[in-house]
Amino acid sequence: MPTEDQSSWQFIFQSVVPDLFQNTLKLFIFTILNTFLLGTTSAFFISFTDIPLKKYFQYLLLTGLSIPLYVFAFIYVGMFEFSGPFMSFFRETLGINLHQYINIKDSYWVSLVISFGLFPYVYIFTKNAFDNVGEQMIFASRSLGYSPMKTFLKLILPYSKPWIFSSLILVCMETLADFGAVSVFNYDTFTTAIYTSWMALFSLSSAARLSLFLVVMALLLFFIDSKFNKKGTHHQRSAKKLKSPLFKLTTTQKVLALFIVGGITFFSFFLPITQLAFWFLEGFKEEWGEHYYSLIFSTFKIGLIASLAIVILAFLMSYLKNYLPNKFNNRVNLLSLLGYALPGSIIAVAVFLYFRFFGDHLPIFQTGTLAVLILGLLIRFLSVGFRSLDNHIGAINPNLEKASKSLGHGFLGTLKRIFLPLSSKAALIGIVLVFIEVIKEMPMTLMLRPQMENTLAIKIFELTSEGEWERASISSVFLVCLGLISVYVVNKLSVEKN
Amino acid sequence: MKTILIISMLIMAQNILAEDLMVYTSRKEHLVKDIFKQYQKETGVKVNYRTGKAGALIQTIKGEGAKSNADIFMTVDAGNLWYASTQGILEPTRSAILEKNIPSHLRDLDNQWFGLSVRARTIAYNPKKVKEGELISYEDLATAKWKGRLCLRTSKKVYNQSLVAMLIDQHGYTRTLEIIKGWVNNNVEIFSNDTAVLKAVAKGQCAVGIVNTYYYGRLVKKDPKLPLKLFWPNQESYGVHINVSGAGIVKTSKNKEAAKKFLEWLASKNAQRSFAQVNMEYPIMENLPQNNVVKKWGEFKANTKFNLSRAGILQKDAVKLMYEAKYK
Repeated sequence: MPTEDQSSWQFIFQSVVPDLFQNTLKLFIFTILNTFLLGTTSAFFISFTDIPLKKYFQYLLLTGLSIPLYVFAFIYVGMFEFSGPFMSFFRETLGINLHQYINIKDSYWVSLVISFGLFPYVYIFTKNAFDNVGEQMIFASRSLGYSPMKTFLKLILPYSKPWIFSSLILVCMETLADFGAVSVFNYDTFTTAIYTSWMALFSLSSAARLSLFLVVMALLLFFIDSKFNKKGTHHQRSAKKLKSPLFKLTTTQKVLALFIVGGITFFSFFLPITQLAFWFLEGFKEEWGEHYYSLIFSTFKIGLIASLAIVILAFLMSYLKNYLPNKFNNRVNLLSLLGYALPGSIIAVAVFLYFRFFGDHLPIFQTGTLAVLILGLLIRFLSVGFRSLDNHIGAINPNLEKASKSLGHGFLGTLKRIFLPLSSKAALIGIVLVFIEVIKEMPMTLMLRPQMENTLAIKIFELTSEGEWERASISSVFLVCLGLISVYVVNKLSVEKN
Repeated sequence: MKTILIISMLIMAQNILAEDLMVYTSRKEHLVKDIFKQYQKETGVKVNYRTGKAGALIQTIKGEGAKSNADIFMTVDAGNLWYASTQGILEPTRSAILEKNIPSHLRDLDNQWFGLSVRARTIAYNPKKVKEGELISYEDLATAKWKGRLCLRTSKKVYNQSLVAMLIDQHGYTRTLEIIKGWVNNNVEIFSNDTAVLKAVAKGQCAVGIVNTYYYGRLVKKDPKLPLKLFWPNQESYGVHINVSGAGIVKTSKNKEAAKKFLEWLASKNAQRSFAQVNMEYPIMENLPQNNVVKKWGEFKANTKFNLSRAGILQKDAVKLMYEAKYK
């Protein structure tokens, strides 16, 4: 390492890193708490109560996933900072200076905004776990004299714990890797420091060392998840969904429930989408052009190819892990899933440098080709596909596999007869979930995409970095629409699954 | 005969293709697309482009090495341009036209890059909150009379790093640290972009902010009634801090002549008019008629003593200094 780099690193390590740990820790704690509360509360109402409009809410609670986290951030900052419409209204019309109580750039509020964007992960994992408990077990508990509340606390919650835990780990990973949102808040984390080391201090080696911190933290999260979070003992039963809800709500309770769940969907979807709509109307005339067709097409194309590739690989990995569980497999699995906690730009540089070397021999992997971009996305999002499949494949009753083996079917036979048919729906859900992530991805797509090929996410980046929120909203709206359709499909599939 | 025709056509096509230029740029597509098209219309040379963040593009050019098809690297801020020049990806270019049209403080000492448009980083203020004659200089914003009245963009933005680099060049590290600490101690509010700073000033969250001129231009164009004005600081001393967007020819380009012609065209009177205008910036050469909006902001004395390469050289120090001063 050249001496100049050394001095940059010394500066970063001594003056910057301690603050980063503090900031990241704060963000983790608040975000875990917030997403846990938001996710489990909403899952509880949907799975176990007769809340009105349930059919709509179970979909609406997921819709936040269609809005990229950085779009969330710039909408909320725009609305809630001193000069934003919300604060201005309170100040100018009601004479209340809310700014003294709500500083949107404080760690708690930063985390809350991020949580509204990420809680759907906790919600969907938790809801699936809740629904998997099945009516038999709940009947048993009730007939043994447990009240509904006791059943929920003593039976359902402990049963669902591993899945809730997993989803919180996922939320941590997303938080760790986020760059776009935290930079809108000007909140310093490892990802922003990596960027500063690289672009302002011109020290790639310091950036690499900081990334190593991220890798270590991600490994730690995986370790915690795999060591302390045993979910091996639960196998899929023919879990029937409850016919009548566990909790019958009184009218007052219904109103309260509507207030809570409605509030959550308001902040995670309706409020941001309203702001987008206003900007859309303002910016459409100036910004709309035919090139948007190709932007939408490219976004769709890259999303589809990447999600197919990722889910196929994730399926094979999960199958191998369950068919030939051994230590080696587990470690390979762990390593290959790390990409999720790394910022896209870091993976992009790594992939790029790597393929510069390979490109000489394999023309398809020349940098700047679609193949390289797909590969980068694969590293980044394999974890998403793997988790959604592995939860499912891991839950396939091992007796089925044993039966298949004892009937003389080998590796491929069992794959074809047992695993493929039983997980085709999970695979579809996986594809759509990965698709949602891929179309929102920005930094890596920006760096690795083929020349002259643009996506909606890139357009958003280009316009927002110039402060052109209104014009950026055009791409945001299309991106959200693609996301909404995907969310709708996921929801439809997972409802059918039950 | 037929084959010869086809072959000659192919060769011709090859020649046309070879004339095409590839620009790697961190400038946003909507700010360069039209000017590139204009060049094609005038000369027949097609200008392709690839957009991205400056740092990533520099790594890409480095990584692609001899295989790179980049002919020109174009970005904003002297800090980025300087960094590109230290990475060995730019070729020094000798051109009488470029040297004549572009003042020497706006291009690289070694002619590796050339400024192509000028932006001033100046003070914007709310006339309801600032008394006549109260504003003086960047340094003065560190005095106690601005307590609770100052808004700034984040120190992570290269524009502020270049501004502080200029101050270090002017005053030395220790004095500059005092100035920046003074800003911070005035309970400065920090924003993630210039537009947000301007809105905060307009709404009275603070009285003054430091911004690039074109952000002011865009916001006021949308809402002319905003209580916002520009002030040109340091007119009695070294002048307003200016910066550039600029470009240089990539070392591995196979099209250096064509690339040079393109740069010369960009620095020509004709192109300068639209190139600066599209983003409400200032043209690179003095005494070129300015766009009406920009003209209204008035004449000012710019800091012409500060060679912009120094902004890059001192950038690291600037980052450390701002960190030390707790300017987030």
